[in-house]
Amino acid sequence: MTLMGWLQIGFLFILLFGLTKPLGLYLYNIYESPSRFKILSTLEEMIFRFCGIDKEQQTWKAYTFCLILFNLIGIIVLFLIQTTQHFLPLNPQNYPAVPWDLALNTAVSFVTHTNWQAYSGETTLSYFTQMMGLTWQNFCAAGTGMTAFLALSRALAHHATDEGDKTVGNFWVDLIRSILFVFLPACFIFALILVSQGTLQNFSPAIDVTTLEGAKQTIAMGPVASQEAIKILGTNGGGFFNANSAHPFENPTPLSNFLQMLALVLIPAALTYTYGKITKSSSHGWALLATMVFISLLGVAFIYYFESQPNPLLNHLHLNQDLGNLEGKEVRFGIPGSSLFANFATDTSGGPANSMYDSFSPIGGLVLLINMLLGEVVFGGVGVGLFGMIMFVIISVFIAGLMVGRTPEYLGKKIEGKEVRFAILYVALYPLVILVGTSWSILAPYGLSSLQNLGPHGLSEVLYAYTSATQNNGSAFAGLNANTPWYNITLALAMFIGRFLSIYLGLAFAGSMVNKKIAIPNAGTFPTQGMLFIGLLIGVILIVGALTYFPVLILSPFLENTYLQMGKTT
Amino acid sequence: MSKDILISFKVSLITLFITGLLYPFLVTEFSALLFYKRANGSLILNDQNKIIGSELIGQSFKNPSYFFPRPSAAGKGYDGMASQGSNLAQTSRALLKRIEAKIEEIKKNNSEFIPIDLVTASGSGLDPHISPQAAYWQAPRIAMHREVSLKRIVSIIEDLTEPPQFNLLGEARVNVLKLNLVLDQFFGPPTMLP
Repeated sequence: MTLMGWLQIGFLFILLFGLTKPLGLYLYNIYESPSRFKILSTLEEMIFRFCGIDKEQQTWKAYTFCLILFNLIGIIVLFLIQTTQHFLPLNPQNYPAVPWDLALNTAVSFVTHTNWQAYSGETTLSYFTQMMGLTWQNFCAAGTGMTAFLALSRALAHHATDEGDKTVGNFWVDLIRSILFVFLPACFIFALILVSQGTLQNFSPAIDVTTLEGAKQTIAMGPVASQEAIKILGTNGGGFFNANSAHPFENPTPLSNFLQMLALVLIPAALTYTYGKITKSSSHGWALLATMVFISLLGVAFIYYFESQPNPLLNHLHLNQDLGNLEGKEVRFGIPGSSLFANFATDTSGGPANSMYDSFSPIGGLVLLINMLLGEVVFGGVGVGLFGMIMFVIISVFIAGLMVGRTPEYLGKKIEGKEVRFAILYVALYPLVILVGTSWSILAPYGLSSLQNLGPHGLSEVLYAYTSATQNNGSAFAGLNANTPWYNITLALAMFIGRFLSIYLGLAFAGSMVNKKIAIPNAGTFPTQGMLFIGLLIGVILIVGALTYFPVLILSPFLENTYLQMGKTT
Repeated sequence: MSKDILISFKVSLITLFITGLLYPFLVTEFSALLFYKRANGSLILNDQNKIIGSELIGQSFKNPSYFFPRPSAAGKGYDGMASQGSNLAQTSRALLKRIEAKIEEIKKNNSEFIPIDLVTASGSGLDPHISPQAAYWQAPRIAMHREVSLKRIVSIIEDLTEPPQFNLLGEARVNVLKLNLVLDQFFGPPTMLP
């Protein structure tokens, strides 16, 4: 580890803190008082009228119904685009239709905000599919995440009146505002900055060149920057190319790398401020951000340290390992730029990769796994990250309530048996899917045949795949050949359950909170700000999140680390 | 309900048009206007105006008169259509064997320790850079094959070393293709190996 490395990391966190409030405020105004922006409100009126949106407040059930309906249509359209791409324009390399199981997997993957990629972008998808299919759904999936968060935070902030429970907002209004006024302008600017660094943006076919040594090389082209911008800002993570953000055409310079890291956590961090503003408890918002930053710093410290270490298995060779574990990493980013990127990629639900996580040290890879297994609540995906964090907060105040023997309250509303049940189900849903999927795959020959690495690392590959899919992350230990019918279909299922069942549970929770009275806090109320709360929340996240998976983690990264320290190969 | 289905389709249509079509084309237009070369792959042309590569995409070099890049897992090596890393774990025997073979291949008479980037594959398989250490390590071989002084080669490497961006971000690095182009420019193309 070097001072320069820590300076880069520190600089990024300081910028993040500085941007949280202004951006959080902008988001608040966009959603809660859009009349502040005259041009935008005229524009959205036109779209509302065209689509027939009445802007009526919806119940949580109507809201959830529209959310799932819109996404189902997304899956169908995306599936159709892929399977008919050979008839569609903008296919200069003449790629054939995507096979149905892969197309299904990819459609579910992009709609559920996972962006798991069982295909190689540059040799499978036409520019049309990348743009009209994937870029489009990147926007929609990110927008959907924001809507879920908005509905939940409004339900918590709402004073019960006789309006009934029609108070979580309107799904269509929230969706369109997210896409048009949050992601679109930000992506436009970000895409141009990326192009200035060397990210591609064109519609040319691949270029054949004769290299300096006289060999033939074909260089892929395409509209990369426009997709790259939303991939990062929307915490989607699906790259244009197979190598994702490691590809020099996606992430050409250290500056583009720095900005991608910042953009990945920017909106999730800003939402903590928006949340504080909506629920009129700014200090609680800051407490959530502090919790996130603490866990994130812990993660990057571990990754950075272990990736800087020499590989003990190479110690006897005639090598200078001062630069650290560079297998699967790019020279221009080095260890700090790769460690922080990987940490943010798994803290959020983004899952982009500027290095190959399969080649990380066992402990480095373990941190990535744990980041996802915690439920991606450290920053998390745009919207849904905070959504999951609130579930952990509910469990925290519930535990605090048990300790002092009082009915727990959150933001002045009583938390009762029903709400705790939703929160527990939300948290327990993930291990169920992840562990069943993993165990089934390692017991079946069609699951095992996809492994590239053997021994404990092979188990890590499968565990990583189901974790990434269920948590809608999308990054991979890419040695696993996931493009088989078994993995395509089961991972698609895991992604679907991980996305929509969790949103359903969270919104059902919102529905049961919306009509509760807000009580004035008294001396017995457990405060949801300050060090005591932050400490308890960190404890709950780490204990609930990590302990569930302790046995399987012992058998995979921990055991692999023992192999490594003993100098044993697999 | 049927009303919501209709809205769903209309919203899908309008977002598809705005984010899938309008937005990428607008970005393309503006990029072409502002950063034409970058948007089109940062290509390098030779004197005859032929494209010899992209400054962002690494190339294979096997001739000992050229600087070697990092090993590549992209296709058969630096395949611009098959970006990927090796995805081998640290404990993988295949990785150990591959690194041992690479050391055997490039070490020759050089007694200095080999910088790790010269034997490890990058994440993209297209990494255009090596570390300055890796360039200096190769300098004696280049000097011998090109029959020029070591000092000359070292000063070329110094000139082409890019510091961290703004002296803060990323790592110091040398672009292998640019380095080899300068070698050819100064000393002429090397004799081709059989």
